[in-house]
Amino acid sequence: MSAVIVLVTFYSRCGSTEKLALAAAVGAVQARANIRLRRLPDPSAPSAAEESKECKENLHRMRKEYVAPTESDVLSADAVIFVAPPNFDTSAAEWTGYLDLLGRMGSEGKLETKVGAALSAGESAQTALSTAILQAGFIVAPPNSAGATPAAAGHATTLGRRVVAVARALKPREQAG
Amino acid sequence: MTVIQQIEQRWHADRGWLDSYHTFSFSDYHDSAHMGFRALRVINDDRIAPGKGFGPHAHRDMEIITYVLDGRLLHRDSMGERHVLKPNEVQTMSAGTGIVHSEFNASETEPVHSIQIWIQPAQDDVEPSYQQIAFPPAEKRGRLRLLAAPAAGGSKRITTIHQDALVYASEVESGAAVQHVLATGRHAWIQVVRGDISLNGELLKEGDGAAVSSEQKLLLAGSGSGGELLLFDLA
Repeated sequence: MSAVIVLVTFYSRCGSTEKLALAAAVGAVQARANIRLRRLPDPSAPSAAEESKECKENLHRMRKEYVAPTESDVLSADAVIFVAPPNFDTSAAEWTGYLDLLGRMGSEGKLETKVGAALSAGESAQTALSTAILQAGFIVAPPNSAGATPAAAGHATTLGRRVVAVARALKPREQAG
Repeated sequence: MTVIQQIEQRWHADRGWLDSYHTFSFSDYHDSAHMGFRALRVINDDRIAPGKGFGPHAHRDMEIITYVLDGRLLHRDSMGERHVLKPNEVQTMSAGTGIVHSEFNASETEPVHSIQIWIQPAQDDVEPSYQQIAFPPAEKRGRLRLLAAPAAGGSKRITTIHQDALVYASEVESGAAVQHVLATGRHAWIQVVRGDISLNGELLKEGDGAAVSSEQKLLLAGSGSGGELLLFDLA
């Protein structure tokens, strides 16, 4: 059976959410998946006044190191882990275009066998993101355990492993069908 | 028996920002006849344009050794390591259960020339780790400088790998030579990374490699204006 492919998509301005995304990716690698990391592009230029030096450096670096997710990335993945900052809501400018793309793909039946999972350091953000990807059409892998503190790095790694386990369990069914 | 692989037999990939020669199968280059030598799986000779590099990507169950010839390489990884690697240093990363890392040219103006080596570990699922050491260049001039070994014995002068393999670097001036003796049943791969070297009298040019089996003495002499080599002593 071919390796499970996990796409980790995140938005981060200062690097904290990137760390969560990396931790989730490591979990997927631990479970022997192939991973791709993608960062959502910035909707507008950062305000120099509100960003620390470290934040600006991380922003500059991430813009250089990552590319934005494409429809092709989602199509080729067996699972997508979405990682959002604690202040996420579905109207956040950096997310709306991507969520619209996923909604369209879902309506076209392109997400039927794909596993999705949401991750955020903010509990309400994680819930909102989880709902959004469920509505888009993903088979949503729930958080690790009821009442778990959202999104410490260890939690993210465990979720990465768990997502691969779910995606792998679905793969033979997909082939048989 | 010595089998020489000339530079023309390496796969050349030019992506604009990356000019790379693969000694063994790698990425888009797949040749079942060139999948490595013993536990040595990859030798990539990379020239990376200023400010460019490899974005975050994953590794699992691989010993990854990086050696910079010119320039500076910036490494970041999911273990929180962030280091700049320069000439006369070696970086060894055990991917083990899984790591994500990026490698970028640390300079916005100068290219970086580096050799990346992958060695298959003797066991899977080791704890991921990162090591980086620096050494005075005199330690590799006219002698073999051990960069990586399976049991460094706590030495901070050598990096540890999870495989029965020894990795050396050496600069050999014209007219000078270094000798390495292979134990019975051991094998060697020689990679010339700079200049010209002769191996037991056979000329190896920059970019050439040689697989050695069933030989005991390896005499590596500086040819032309001399050169630099990596030597892998393998089970």
